[in-house]
Amino acid sequence: MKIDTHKNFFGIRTEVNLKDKIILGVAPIILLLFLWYLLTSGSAKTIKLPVGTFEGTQIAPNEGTFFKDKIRLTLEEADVLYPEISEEDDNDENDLSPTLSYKNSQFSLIGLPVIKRGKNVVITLPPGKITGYSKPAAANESGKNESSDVKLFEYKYEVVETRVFAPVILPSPFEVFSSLPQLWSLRLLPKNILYSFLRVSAGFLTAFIVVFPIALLMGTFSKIKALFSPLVLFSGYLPIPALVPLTMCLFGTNETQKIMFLAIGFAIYLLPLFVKAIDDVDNVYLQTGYTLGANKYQTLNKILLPVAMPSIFDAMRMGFGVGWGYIILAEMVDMGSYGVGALILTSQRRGPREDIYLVLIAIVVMAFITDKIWEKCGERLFPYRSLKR
Amino acid sequence: MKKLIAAFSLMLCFAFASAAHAQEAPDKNSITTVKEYKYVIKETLPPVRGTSNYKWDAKEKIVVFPINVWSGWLPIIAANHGFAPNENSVFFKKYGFKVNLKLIDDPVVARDSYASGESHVLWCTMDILALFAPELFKDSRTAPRVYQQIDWSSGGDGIVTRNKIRSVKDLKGKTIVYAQNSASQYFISTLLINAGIRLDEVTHKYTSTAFEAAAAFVSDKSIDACVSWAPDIYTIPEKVAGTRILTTTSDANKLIADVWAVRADFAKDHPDIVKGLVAGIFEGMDMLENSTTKTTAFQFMADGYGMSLEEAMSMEADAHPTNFAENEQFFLNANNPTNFEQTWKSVSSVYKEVGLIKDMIPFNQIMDFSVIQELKKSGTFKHHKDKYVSSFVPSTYSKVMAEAPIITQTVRINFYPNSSNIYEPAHDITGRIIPNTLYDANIEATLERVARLSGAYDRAIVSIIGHTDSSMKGKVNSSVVNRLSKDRAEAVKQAIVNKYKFSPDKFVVKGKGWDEPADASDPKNHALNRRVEVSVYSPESQ
Repeated sequence: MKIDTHKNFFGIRTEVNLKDKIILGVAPIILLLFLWYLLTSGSAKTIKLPVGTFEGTQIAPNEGTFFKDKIRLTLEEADVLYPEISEEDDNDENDLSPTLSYKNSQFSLIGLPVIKRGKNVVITLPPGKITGYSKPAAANESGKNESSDVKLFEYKYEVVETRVFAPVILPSPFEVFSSLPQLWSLRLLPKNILYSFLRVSAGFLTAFIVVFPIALLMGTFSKIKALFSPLVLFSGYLPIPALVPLTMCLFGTNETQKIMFLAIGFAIYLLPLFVKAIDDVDNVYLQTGYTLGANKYQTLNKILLPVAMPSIFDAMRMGFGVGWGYIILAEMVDMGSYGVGALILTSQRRGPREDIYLVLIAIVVMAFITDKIWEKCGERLFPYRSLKR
Repeated sequence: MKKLIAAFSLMLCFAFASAAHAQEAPDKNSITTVKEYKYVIKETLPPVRGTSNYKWDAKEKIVVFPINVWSGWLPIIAANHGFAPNENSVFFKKYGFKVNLKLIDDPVVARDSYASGESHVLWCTMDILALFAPELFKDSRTAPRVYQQIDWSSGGDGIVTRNKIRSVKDLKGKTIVYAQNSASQYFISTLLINAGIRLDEVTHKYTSTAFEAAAAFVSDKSIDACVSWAPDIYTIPEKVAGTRILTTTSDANKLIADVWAVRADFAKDHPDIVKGLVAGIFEGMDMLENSTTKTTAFQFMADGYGMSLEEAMSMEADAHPTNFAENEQFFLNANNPTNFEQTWKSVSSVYKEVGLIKDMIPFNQIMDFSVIQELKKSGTFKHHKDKYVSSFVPSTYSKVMAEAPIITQTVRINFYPNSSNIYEPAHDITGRIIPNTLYDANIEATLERVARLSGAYDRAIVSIIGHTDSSMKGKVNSSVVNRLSKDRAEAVKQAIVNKYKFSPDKFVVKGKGWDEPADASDPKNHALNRRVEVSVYSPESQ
């Protein structure tokens, strides 16, 4: 396959074929993922430690075992030596980190959290991988002491501190995607999406039922437009979050409130677009209608509506996404009753942070699918629009 | 039969003897003086790896310290001479750095600003810290270090109910609304768990902030209670008929602690600044002793929060700022039932039960008492006296019980038959004492639970009521068991008074014998009936 996407890149109104569309659409996404990976990956470090008891496992794990979460390593009959801190000279970090003393051998614990429990030493290893075991003969770690038959293992881990973005703010793509099974099955992502989708749809429908007739009247009769247009203008400037308590007072704290809140958000967005769609109908059509002797009802029904309908449909297609923008606000009240907004709010507070980004990705996927459906419906309803002129 | 009674009274005599014994020297291990922590901080705090990752201008030296709308920040506002970094602040004049107090009211935003290194400090309540800590510990540089307690919530948080709910136990089967993952959730969950109500026996409705919880309660009559903040908790009962305050942190005045945490990398690089922050805030408390500087501080606060002076001043009663002496109790006294360790344990165990956190991070990986200890040695703030000590007048059970208790905690202590010694050693089959054992092995943990609740409700009167089973009904006189149950209640009181240094007048004891079975529908359930009930009564009812 020959890639010639770059050819005539800045051509005005050139035709873009499907292959190029896909390549051009996917490229920024890949770039974004790559940037994400770059900003959230730290440098790797390998440490050699004596084999002890790994938390939750009876026998030592195999070579190549990957620990997704941090793991505690317990060494019996071991000791931790803390270096003396002298006031005068500036010790650098490595001099200050404690040393593990185990069976006459010493191991440097560069920055790893370590706790002494009686005669045991517990080392907390960050997520990482066992890259290999060393044979007892090669156990001469420090070189100072005679090596005994201490079995060592090599552990490779990522130093999260070397990342550009702190993991609390932005987890790495790997962390995010490995959190998916848990979010999917334990935190019921599909159910949450379904609830939110139904709420958004119901809110949209409510808004449409209210807004459509008003827009029709406003678009048709100039005096009615004058009656409502200041209100429409003001409402566009309203910070919607401030309305949450008011909707609670009017509609309670259950589903009605959520749907009505979304409906308000939709209505404010849709109304001016609907009115504009009818406004934009060219006078030529109206005059033609009058010439043919159309009465008021016929003008509305046979001219204004059919001509404006494609624009109204486009407004609806674009507007449907607005609801997803308000979903967090809508699901702020009664957060226990599912929904992706509530899911994000809870994850923000108590983690896992990974879930926030997963939900965002899920919403993006949802948006893609719904938009495709809208597009197909549009082609069905207004086939004449896709005709080549 | 006579023989049996004789034997019984003999054993009872023994019980009295041991009860008296218990009152004098209840436990050889219990400590009667302030016990300081002995561990070495450096060995428990997680080490900091990597290069520091916070915004810092070595010339300007401005510490970014986010705060929320809360009166507990008055001392630092006073010390800083307003919100913006300036050269009139105590921090600059005495310690050579500036502080930028930024209003970030949303804890999540404050945490994100802290994690990204935009700010060096994180304001939080202990319960929010418990939620944030697991994520913050992922990066050793953002691990929180707590050096100072700012205040106790003292009337700032509360629970408002419909009139029919008079006690926490009435909440069973009811609907409660509150802000999820906030101090409100900690408050209500603690009460429910202490009252022995399973969390699934209540319908929980969640909102994202306490303000919405109050609004939901007002607008939706099907909700029976809400947990919210001042001023809502006080205005609702005034404005909405049929509602009342169940309890506030003015009763539970040592439950919700506000602290600030500093980034581990910052604390490592700038120990002097951390010390300066702690000392400066204490100096701010000294400044508030003067009424002129106090008014100036309130004016700064009003400007920073965008309120009127009156509004700012009306918030004063919401919190009790904790001075040096109180911080000493919080950080250094290992025996204080409401110290950092116990508060942290309480939060962690409640949130574990609620299912919000999986692992408990040990308290000593977060608490750093070094600054308070240093200040104690230097004696800079020895003029600070613990002002948060509640005083009690001796009372009796009949006087206290006139009103319904806020909350009743039922604990089970296994007493040796006819004995009221809670530290009774175990006996072998022949009745001989096995040394170094306890008949009730969980006794310390049980006492800790009682002490935590009594400590959190520091101002409240607490009744301890002993109950026995009715297995001897008809065989012995009821006055004998009443006596025994009272001795047992008294023994519990003495044990916690001795160990945790409570005022003895805080407690009233009563023995009810077998008169009140735990479950009226199942009066013969002896195991259930052998119990001690600890009830907390509002201080106003005294």
